[in-house]
Amino acid sequence: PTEDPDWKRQKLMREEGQRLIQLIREGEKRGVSPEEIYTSVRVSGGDGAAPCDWLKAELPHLLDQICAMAASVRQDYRTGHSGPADPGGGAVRLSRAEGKQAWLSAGGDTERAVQLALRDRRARVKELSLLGFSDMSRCEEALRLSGGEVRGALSLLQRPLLEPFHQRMWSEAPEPRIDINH
Amino acid sequence: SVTIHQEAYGKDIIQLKVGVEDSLSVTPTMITMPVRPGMTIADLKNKVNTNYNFHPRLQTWVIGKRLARDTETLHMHGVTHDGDQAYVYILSPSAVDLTREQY
Repeated sequence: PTEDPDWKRQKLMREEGQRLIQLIREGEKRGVSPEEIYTSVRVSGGDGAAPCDWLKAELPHLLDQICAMAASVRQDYRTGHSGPADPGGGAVRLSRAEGKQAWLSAGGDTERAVQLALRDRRARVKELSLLGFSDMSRCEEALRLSGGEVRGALSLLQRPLLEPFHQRMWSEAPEPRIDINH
Repeated sequence: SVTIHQEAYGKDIIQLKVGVEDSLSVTPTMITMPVRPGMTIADLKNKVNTNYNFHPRLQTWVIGKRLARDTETLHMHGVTHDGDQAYVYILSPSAVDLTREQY
């Protein structure tokens, strides 16, 4: 069977697959997703630090870098074009969660991650604007606080709308009766 | 979007060897799946879900040294012949926030 031209290829397929499976298994024990393990292996070259250690030591810096790069780009929602940020406003502030999501989608390519993160952010702001939230900067902030999740951002934006109900709920509560005879 | 034409890879069914693993397995449990190289990883996940009842979100597919994405085909990962090997790692439901109700 060693003369089979496929034999060597299939042997390599098995061995490399097994190596990655073992890293995924170790990652799961430490609460790290297979995508994170895989991307870190690709970015770090697979030698040196174990993927989990690499993620812990290096990823936060990388995500800050992605956020900083995104902040230097000004989003123009009307045209959908991005340009250099104006000093003093218009910069996109990403959360690390959004940076990480984009980093994984981009297969660890930092510049591509910035583009993806900005594209996703733009789409999500648009989604919120279609739901009636036209103040872009408030939508941006809500998305940053929710880690880029539209559902979370929506709750944040809608909470103030329901605040009067809370106030009425307490003001209309009947006052406790005090019986002075007992 | 791009559509994959099954015809481009021929209609031949090949026998894919799949090593099933999880956090506790010591060696992979080998199963054989008849597949077409033009099938996507998402197709495979659905097939495994239908046949063996593992939710697609619990499945992580590894082919060679790569993590396979849902939209990619087996062919894109070089799976073309009988006996080619892939692995599927079954995550614990808690790792993917899957509740029994969703399951």
